[in-house]
Amino acid sequence: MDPKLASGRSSRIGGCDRCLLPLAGKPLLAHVIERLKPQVSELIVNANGDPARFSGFGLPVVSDRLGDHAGPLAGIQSGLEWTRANRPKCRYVTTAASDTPFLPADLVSRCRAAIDEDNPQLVVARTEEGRHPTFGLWPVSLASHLAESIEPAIARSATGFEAVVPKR
Amino acid sequence: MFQALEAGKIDPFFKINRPDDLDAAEAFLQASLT
Repeated sequence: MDPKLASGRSSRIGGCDRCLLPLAGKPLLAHVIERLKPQVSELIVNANGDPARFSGFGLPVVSDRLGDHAGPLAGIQSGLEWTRANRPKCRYVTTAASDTPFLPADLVSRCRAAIDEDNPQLVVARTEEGRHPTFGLWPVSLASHLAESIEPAIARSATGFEAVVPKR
Repeated sequence: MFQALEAGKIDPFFKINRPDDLDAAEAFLQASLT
């Protein structure tokens, strides 16, 4: 099994970090970490601003490299870029939103199965309600391509990957 | 508890967008524990 990292994004609500809001006595982010940790080799947090506000989690905090608060796809690109630079043996990054405390406990295995079955460029979660592009499995090899291809308008939408991921 | 979540009693991609969502998540967790 290839090593994987999970990059959780932090966004803001009502002037504060949404992922730090308490749920059942602990921050939303702690719930997300609890669900992801058994599924991956390592976790990182994608967030902009002062990283010290996440220091209690003991995880690397990676800010957007394509401009501050550039959007979900920019956050994903930042996670891929960090992984390429710091974990050269890691081939995939799993991404998840940090404000979804009930995310699937088998998210990574499902994504990995889809990669193994059809060898797509990347995998994003989908339910009857539609796609959830912030939840996916992204090859680290896409880091450079995304950095060169993402324009600000695209980066603000996680579905922007459709416009920039090369077709096979 | 997590198995109950996976059984579809709550959308696993349920996103906390508003303070009301937090209340709903809290209520769900409480119900799961009882």
